[in-house]
Amino acid sequence: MERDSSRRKFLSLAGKIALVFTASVTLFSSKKIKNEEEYIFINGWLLRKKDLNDI
Amino acid sequence: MIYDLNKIHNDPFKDKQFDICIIGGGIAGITLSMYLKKSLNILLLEAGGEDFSIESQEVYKGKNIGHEYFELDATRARWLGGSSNLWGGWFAPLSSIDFRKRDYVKYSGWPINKTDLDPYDKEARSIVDLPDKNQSINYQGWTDIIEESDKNLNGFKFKWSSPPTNFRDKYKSKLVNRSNITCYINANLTDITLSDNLSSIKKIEIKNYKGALFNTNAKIYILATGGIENARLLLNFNKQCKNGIGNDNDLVGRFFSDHPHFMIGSYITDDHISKIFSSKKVEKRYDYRITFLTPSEKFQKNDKVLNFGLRVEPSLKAYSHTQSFRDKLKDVVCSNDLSESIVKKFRGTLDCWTDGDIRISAEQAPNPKSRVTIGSEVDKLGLKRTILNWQFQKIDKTTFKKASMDFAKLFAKQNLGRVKIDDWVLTENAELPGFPQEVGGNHHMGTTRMSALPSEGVVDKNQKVFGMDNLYIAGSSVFPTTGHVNPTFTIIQMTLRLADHINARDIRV
Repeated sequence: MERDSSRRKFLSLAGKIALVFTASVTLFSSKKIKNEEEYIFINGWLLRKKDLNDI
Repeated sequence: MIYDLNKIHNDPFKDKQFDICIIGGGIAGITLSMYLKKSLNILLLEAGGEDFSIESQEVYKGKNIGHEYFELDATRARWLGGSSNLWGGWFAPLSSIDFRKRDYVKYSGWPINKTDLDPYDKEARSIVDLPDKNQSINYQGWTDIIEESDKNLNGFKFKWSSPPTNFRDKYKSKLVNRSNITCYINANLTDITLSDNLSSIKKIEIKNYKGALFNTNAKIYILATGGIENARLLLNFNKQCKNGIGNDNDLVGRFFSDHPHFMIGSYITDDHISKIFSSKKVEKRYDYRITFLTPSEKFQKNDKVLNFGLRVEPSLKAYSHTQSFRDKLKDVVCSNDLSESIVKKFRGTLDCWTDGDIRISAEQAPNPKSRVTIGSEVDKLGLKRTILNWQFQKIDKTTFKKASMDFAKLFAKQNLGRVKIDDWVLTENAELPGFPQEVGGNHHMGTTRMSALPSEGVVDKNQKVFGMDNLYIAGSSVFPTTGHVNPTFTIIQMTLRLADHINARDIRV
């Protein structure tokens, strides 16, 4: 039980750290994003550029 | 009549002469025996029994040395009825383009056209018990939502033999009652002796599981043991031809193909689509939820892609409209691969929101390096076991990528939702996934391909082995290319055509 709880805390922390340090990298990495007309790739999702204004 | 060769002690073939010997009691072999003229004296040899047995199925064991593939004794059925004991009942004819030579698909082109097989459609449908009306799977997924008018991707429907016709159950009584057919079960072809000039079969050797050997002969032989076994047997019979029968040009066993089946991504739906789905009755059967899209000929030519079936598979969650499109988009943008992979590493899985998956089942480009060979290990009958080296080419991966990109754009453009394409599809040089992906369709094709010239194939346009007067091959091993549809319908069409050809042949001695 205690171990699970520690794991959850760690996961939560790891997730946040990962988000902070990788979100920007992922968003602007030329490897991950390919601009194609009105489309943009983020995390493998093909989005419309206007989606970024909608959220 | 059906006899069990395991239970026979005296030579039942002594002083007997058959017109036709069909080796293999599966879909092709049984169909052929039913549609050959009743004036022909037919011997049908089935290597297994009437039901599954370990002693027969074990003969199919072999080794996979290429891309991850099914265990070779699990991907096929070695008893009466063959693969009809396992099939799912989906079928559709190949498209016209599948038969044509395409300059962007090396080794493409059949020596026959779709119009050569169309006349057999009606009979093929009756063989698998399709109702007369234009029955198809009652798809309840996206069919009514995705616009059919998209220029690149078109809606597609499989027909459905439901329940899937089992050829043993359907035809067993006919095999018993037809006076011109003698069927032996547990009868394994273990050797072929050719005439001195090597241009025809003189006699064959048959072995039961007790080790008893028999010899018999016929005027015409048809090998119909499946897309892997047809090649294995021809390669094994090398006492007179060092490369095996029909293999002067080293083509037997090459061009092995399946229909690669891979999950290529997932999707979220826009609110108006989610509302449509939430108003639908939840369809729990996976088969009913799928919608198929196939590429137009123009798309295939312009983008130099293979034929494929893209399967849009709504999840059960898609039928409950609980999260707005905006929130889903936020999740998509805020999540990232690294954090996801960390969580997955600790938890094993991570249930991220998606409204469904996208899967592809595609044509595989003919590849001479993708092949069946025989190893040194022998089975209990004394034949060398199969080694399968399943290989892909760049155009296979390109097809997956272009198919998923086009669908993702269609989805976004029509404001249906957004699509995620999996990393391996987008990443240059990434290997294709293995299990637990579906990987293939258990469709074994291409290993004795049909061609106009002996230098390019194993059988001619009538499925007769080049250089042999009295040996034909039936089944999907003769497909030079595969299209994207399940092969059963084409196997039946071609077998009916083969029956017509043999019926028209003068086989008097």
